[in-house]
Amino acid sequence: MTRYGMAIDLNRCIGCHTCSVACKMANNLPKNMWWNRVMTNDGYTIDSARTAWPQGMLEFTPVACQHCENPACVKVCPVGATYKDPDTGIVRQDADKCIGCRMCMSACPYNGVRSFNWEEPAAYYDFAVGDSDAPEHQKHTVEKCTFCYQRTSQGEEPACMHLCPERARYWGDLDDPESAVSRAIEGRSYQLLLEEMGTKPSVYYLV
Amino acid sequence: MGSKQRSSMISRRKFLEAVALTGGALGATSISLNELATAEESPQAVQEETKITFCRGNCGAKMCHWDVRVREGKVVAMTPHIHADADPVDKGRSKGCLRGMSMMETLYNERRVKYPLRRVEGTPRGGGEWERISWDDALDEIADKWKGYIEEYGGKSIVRWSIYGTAVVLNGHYGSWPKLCTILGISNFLAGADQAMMFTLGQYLGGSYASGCDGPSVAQNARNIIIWGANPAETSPHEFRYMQEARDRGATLTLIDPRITATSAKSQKQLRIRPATDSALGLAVINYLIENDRVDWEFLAKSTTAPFLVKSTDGKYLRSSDYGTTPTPTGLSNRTTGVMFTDDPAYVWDNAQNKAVLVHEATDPAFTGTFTVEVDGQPVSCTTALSLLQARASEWPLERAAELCDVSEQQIIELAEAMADGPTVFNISNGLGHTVYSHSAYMVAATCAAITGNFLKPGAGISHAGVTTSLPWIPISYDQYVVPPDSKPGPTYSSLKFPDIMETGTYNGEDAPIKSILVVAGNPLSNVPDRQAMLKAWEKVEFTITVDPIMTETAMYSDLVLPAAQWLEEEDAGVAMFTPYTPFGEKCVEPSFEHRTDFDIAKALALRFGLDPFYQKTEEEVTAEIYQTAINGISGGAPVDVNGEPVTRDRLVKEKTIRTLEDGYYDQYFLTQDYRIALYLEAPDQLHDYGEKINVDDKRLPFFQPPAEAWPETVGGFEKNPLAEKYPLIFLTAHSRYRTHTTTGYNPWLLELQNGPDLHMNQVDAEARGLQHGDIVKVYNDRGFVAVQLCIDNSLRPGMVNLPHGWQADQFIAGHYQDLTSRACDPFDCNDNYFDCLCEVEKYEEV
Repeated sequence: MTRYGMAIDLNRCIGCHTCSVACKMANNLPKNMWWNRVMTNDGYTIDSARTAWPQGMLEFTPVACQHCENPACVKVCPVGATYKDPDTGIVRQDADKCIGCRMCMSACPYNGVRSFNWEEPAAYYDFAVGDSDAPEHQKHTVEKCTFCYQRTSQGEEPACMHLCPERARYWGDLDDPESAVSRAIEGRSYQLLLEEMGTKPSVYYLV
Repeated sequence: MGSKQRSSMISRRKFLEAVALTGGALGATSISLNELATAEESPQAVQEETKITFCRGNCGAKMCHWDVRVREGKVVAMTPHIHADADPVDKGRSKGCLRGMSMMETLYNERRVKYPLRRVEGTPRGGGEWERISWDDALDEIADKWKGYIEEYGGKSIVRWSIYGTAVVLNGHYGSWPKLCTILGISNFLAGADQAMMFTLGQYLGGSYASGCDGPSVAQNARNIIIWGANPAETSPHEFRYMQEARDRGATLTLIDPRITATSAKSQKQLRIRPATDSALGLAVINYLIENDRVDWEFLAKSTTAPFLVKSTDGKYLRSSDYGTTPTPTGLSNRTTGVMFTDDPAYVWDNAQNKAVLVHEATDPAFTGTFTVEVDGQPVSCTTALSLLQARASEWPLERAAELCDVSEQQIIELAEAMADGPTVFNISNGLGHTVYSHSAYMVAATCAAITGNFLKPGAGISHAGVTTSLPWIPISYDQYVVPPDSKPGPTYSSLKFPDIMETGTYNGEDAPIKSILVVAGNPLSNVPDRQAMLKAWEKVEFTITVDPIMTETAMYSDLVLPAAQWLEEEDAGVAMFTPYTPFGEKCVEPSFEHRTDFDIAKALALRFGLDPFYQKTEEEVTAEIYQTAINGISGGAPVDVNGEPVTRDRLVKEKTIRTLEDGYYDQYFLTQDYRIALYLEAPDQLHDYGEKINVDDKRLPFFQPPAEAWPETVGGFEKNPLAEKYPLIFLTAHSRYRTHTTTGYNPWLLELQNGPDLHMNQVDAEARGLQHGDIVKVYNDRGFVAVQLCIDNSLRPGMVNLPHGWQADQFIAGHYQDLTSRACDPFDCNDNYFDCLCEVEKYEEV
């Protein structure tokens, strides 16, 4: 049994979006779709500060699906399209089963990690980019980060993990104390997003 | 490398179908995807090939290597290349960022120029009406017109205009075009961008921008890191990593920047100084360090000109030649200024002998003082360089500097102590160098590093954008590659003076008839200051040509646009090193439309001038030869890898990347006159003479002078610019993480990440003007305006606004940010001074 998880060192993260772009490319995401977003903590908008000068800080938090141990989305899916993969702990979605009811979107406390294809997903180019086995994108279905299932199921890392410029990201099996992610968390203070919601996220934010 | 096929090409949909067929319940199936894949023959497997290239985006910490994944002739993904010798955990020096990753989006961009285009006759420049023409028609037209201009006005009537885009040997602004232009006697525009940094540090340090160390040396050795006027967390993310590693090991990061940036949150200390007061701050630090004996005397004695005697008669160092010896050239020269070094040792005052002696003969050199020395039978008063520096610095006691720079005295002391408590590395890039007298900021920075002995050792020095710019290989012949021996390029014109040339027809007293402009590897009309004046001048030029992969703003205004191959469509090698691996890029895919490499285009044009004998070699042969003839900028010998093996094209084709610098690398000497860093420039040079000479005395020592325009308040006895009554805000166009300049400016992924061009302004300034977040505002001054969305951003110091750099005309609501910027410059560096600009902001009313 594997329980995949991720750690992101917020002391190191500079909000560069390289992980977001890597995700976008590898998964052949359609226009305006981002599974991995880098949030600006304090601004009215991206790359700005709201707190009065000179106390504001430009700090960032990358957010994607938290692949919760206790996922709120799975419980509410009326057709079983959202499920937790028992072999990997990855919260997956079956686009073929998805009826587009968006219950998962309202149940998930992590706003913005899911997107709904209101229209036919629009590609940038007349050929698919990214992994040859990247997921397909379908109208009227909900999408989100899959921990790059096409990669991780073959023992590879998710795309966002491939060379973070600051080396702020760690990946691996949370149940394996020797994994990179377990070693990164060991002895470090960390935060879980909205821990009080009881979702038990698999993404650890090192602080 | 090479061909790669994923072990499973089964799609998830297929997988689910397969699972359904076997009757397994989704959550409980024990069949793994891998097993399924093995069972299936993967008939739909797609062949994927991986090539290598390097990014030519010129962020300053550039030349990241990329794996380019190609499927069915298309680039489908780019991932940072993990170097073969890299540590498996931290991946060593492998690097890359979102800009390089989006390179393929330039290749397939909807603004890609597909065919040679000619402006439809009778339509205005910039009107956007084009007719597709053949390559032959385009090249014939250029050849015909150019032959006419050359015959009537000489080659100098044609100007090549490039701005650092794509620094490679065959293509871009170093390679094939300069060769042809040299042969035809064509002139060129001197780019003003970054000259304050390049030219000033070049004079101090001998020619490469930096004399410092590489990232890993910073990470392992630096105790203090001074990030001065730079924002590496955004602009050089791949090199900022090493500063973060240093900090996490215990080093202190001190940031000097008027703005709060992404780098602020990662630094323990910040001096949020008044804009463009850096040289006063530096002078106060120098004064404090000398006064408090916090200088490195051993380094001063050995590696600086501190004890050298300066003659009061001519301001130069007292040298052996003052006593009749004839200085002999050493054969070396300053890489930036080209000034030859001579063997002409200097004199110091030896306390032990109580007289002036040659520097190597002194046992107890005096660092300070004024002495009388006999020269030619006459007594000449001589003062040490350090004394002259100290006299200048003493104009800036803590109290005065604190007031001017808007920081506390304690902050200045802590900054000085951080420099003294070395090894200290100075991360200095171009942010400091965008006001008219900003060259002095680089003078103080180099001087601060020198007097604290922070050079020539691990974890110290000036580390441009986080790396040293050491040159394990320099292609010596890239711009004059096999040209006829009597070839002579036309004159160089400062691009800032383009409007004046078109007005007067002269330059520096000489006739300067500009009839045609060829733009290669640059987008000047979008990136050069005072765009309205530039456009007016451009309109007066008879025949304008742009060669570019993308329909840039400059291409839009051209008469002919030639579709250049993009980086991924051509083989090339880098001309310098900002990476410990030799930059080499394979041709990854065939050009998509009628694109040709610069090498091919220049050659096709050259053949129309009957230059066949000089164009007999293939691209591969030329690359191979350029590698063979390159020199090693560090050793002066052959370019070799870390094992001493020569770097060749054959090897690169096979090995893809070759390691040329060890991790611990740091620069170990100054390639300067006397092999020392000068605390006093005895003969300050000027970058270029456009008809105005520098006052040499003014440039021998660092100084403070307020910016020519952007000085909106009276402070420290420096009267405010009266223009500030009308335009009280300082206008910045700072670099962001999404662009270098306009290079990645149309890449959809990066565009989606941003809210378009927006003006960042502090809430206080916005409220004073009745403006709200999201308003469309007009930013303006007497030169022009731009209309954009307003972003309330309290990371901006009140009194300054920022419109992040990298946008083009069609992306603004109206106007252009370069319509506001000024052409004012100092003849010392002929620098583009983008931040020396005042403006006012109001709600935009569409006319």
